[in-house]
Amino acid sequence: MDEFREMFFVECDELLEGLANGLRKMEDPDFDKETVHAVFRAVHSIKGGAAAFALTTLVTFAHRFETLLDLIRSDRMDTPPQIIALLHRSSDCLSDLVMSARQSAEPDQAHVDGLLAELDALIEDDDPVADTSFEFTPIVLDFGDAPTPAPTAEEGIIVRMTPNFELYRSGNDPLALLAALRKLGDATVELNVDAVPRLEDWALERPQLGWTVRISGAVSELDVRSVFEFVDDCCRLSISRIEEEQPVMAQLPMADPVMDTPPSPTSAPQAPVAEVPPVVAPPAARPSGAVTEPAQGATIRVGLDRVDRLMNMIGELVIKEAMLSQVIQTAGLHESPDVVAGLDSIRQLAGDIQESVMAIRAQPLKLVFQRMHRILREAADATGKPVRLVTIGEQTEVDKTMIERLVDPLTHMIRNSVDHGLEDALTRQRRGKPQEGTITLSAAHRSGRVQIEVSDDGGGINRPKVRQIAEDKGLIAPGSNLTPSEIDQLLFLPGFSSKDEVSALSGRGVGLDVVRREIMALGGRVMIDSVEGKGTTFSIALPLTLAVLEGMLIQLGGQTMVLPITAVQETLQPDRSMLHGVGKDSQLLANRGDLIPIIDLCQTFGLDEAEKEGGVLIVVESDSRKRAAFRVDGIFDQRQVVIKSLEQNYGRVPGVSAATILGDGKIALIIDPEEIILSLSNDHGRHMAAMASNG
Amino acid sequence: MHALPLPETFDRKAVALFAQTLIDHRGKDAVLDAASVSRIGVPAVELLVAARKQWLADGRSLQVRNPSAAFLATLDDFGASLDLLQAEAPA
Repeated sequence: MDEFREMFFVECDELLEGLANGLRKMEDPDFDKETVHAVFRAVHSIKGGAAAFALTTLVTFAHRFETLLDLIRSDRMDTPPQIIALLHRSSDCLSDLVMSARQSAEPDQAHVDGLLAELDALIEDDDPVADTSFEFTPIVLDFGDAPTPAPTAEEGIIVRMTPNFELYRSGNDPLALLAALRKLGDATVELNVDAVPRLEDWALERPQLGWTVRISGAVSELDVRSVFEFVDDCCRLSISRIEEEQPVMAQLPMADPVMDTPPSPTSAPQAPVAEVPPVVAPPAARPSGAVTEPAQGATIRVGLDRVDRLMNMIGELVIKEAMLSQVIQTAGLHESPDVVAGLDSIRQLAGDIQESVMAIRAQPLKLVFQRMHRILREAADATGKPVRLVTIGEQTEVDKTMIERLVDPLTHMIRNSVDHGLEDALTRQRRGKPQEGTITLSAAHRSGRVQIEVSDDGGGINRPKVRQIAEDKGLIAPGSNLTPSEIDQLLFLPGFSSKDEVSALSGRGVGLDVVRREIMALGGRVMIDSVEGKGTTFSIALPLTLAVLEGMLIQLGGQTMVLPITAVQETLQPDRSMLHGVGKDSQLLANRGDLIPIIDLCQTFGLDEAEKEGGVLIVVESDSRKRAAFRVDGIFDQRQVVIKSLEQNYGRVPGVSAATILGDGKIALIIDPEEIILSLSNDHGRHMAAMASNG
Repeated sequence: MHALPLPETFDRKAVALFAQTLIDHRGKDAVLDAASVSRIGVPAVELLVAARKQWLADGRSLQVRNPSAAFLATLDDFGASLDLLQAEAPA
């Protein structure tokens, strides 16, 4: 039962996404008529599935919502902005009801009733009897508490087969297959003729006759499969259990049908199947047997834990490959062409497998971006500011884990942008801006990372005010020498905003420290760029995966450490003319027309220091585009390393983002170049700003 | 009405030929004589199902007469019945 419910809710997510998408399209006065049909179908499917689980509130609301949509699709109601707004709110409410049902929580009944009253008023205006035809009596699907079927349920297997021409041409006879199936138990054979065309369209080479064979009793799927052992590549075959199909087929509500799908030629009881929204049927009605001719673009649902397990195993494979490489080196075989070629092949293969698994886990950011439309609408309503959301790069893919964990930070950033980033309509007008503010949510892949930006076209950060608040709260020393970007960073300090500044919606600064922490937990960074009068942009830079990174293996005072390759710009062994002393201990590197600070990583990590004149310099650039040169003892390899969380297994180490296991089994720390660069400053304010950037 | 005799061995080879015979008789009521059928395969049954659909669409009747025991037994094995092969002309 739980499995079916969960499946329903997963499908609901997809339907709600389609619904929200469709409603946005309907904001265009010239929207395609098919859009409203699709929106209607989404609501109807949710209603159908909810009825099966006796989710009465959800069904009742979906029904009223659907009735309004029906008026629109039958041209009995126009769609002025206030109706579109009501549809959006109804969609949000439907989403809330689904969420409540999923969590077995009580919905906000007053809110639901309020919306129902609004819907009813419109529906009744059009037709006073429109809604009286609906007498909902939920028909509950009783799957039982345990996976085992109820004792009264019929047990057995349903086989559906449609032979291809190949089967006949190879001299096989379906009659023999039917006879073999009959031997497995008490079988009833039904010939399916629906897909057979008229004589004028019929062709011997395109056979369409199929059979549905119900075999009662304790027959196993394996037995059935053995019947088709030698012909399974020349017939369309599906095998499912009777007890799985029975409840869904027999008991789903039949009223108010919406026929979206043409009847399948191989399925016998077609009418109920067509009515069943895909939300309930899948685990039961979906054949468990292999379809020998899979449709193009066919998909399967796989538990995330299985993909995670696969990813972990690939991580181990990368480590083992590194170990093997080490052993080969030790044995002096590393110059043997055969060994090198073999090792390269394994490395290539491991990389390909890893990329494939990452592709499985990758999902478009659209899933998060679409949810932000609602957040924006609510924020706009709460503040009374007219605002629109522009999304760019929705198809940019990131790891599924990140998708889920990006929702909260982005929600907070959008609310902040509406509440504090944008001016009110009058102020905007006075400043010569359009009354309607614009929030732009964009995503793109950039230098091996995913960059997400939330931009507003508001007034920009009021830096004197930010500075004043920070001084008043003792977060920085009065008169601290801070650059504009360092002042912006103060917004990320915990407790930056005072409580009396917190609006009902958000407070700029309140929660931004949480946003930063959440993004950092994903291995990402948050940066701010603000221009007075023009607006503010929050940028989030995220790694593509949380599992593996391409790293440069460096030597530091007898230790091996890993520097993420994405941060590295170049490596060099400088001659004296490139080095310039500053003060007692510091040095600058002349590099490409700039003077950039040299950071001795041995000193940073408290290791035996490298010679000032020797060693290697690695020029790195942080996400906030600050450059520095790291002095290290040496560089000896570049390879993929598996990321192991240090915080989970040990604790937080400044300047270190994670750890990895090397080929010799030793642990190496993965350096966080961003944090090291930003911790350069010894000024208190700067240090605080740097801390705000780096946790 | 002239009855069209179904082939004694109504296998795949015979189906191609008999399909043309049926096409030639489209638009008219037709009777199929199944008395001599000793063996009938799936393609033949499918052809007869397609013919029934055609005759129904054309508003003509299609009857199967004198089905042999082998013919009926095979239909039964296929989970089919004579009704799937016959069409009544609308009154």
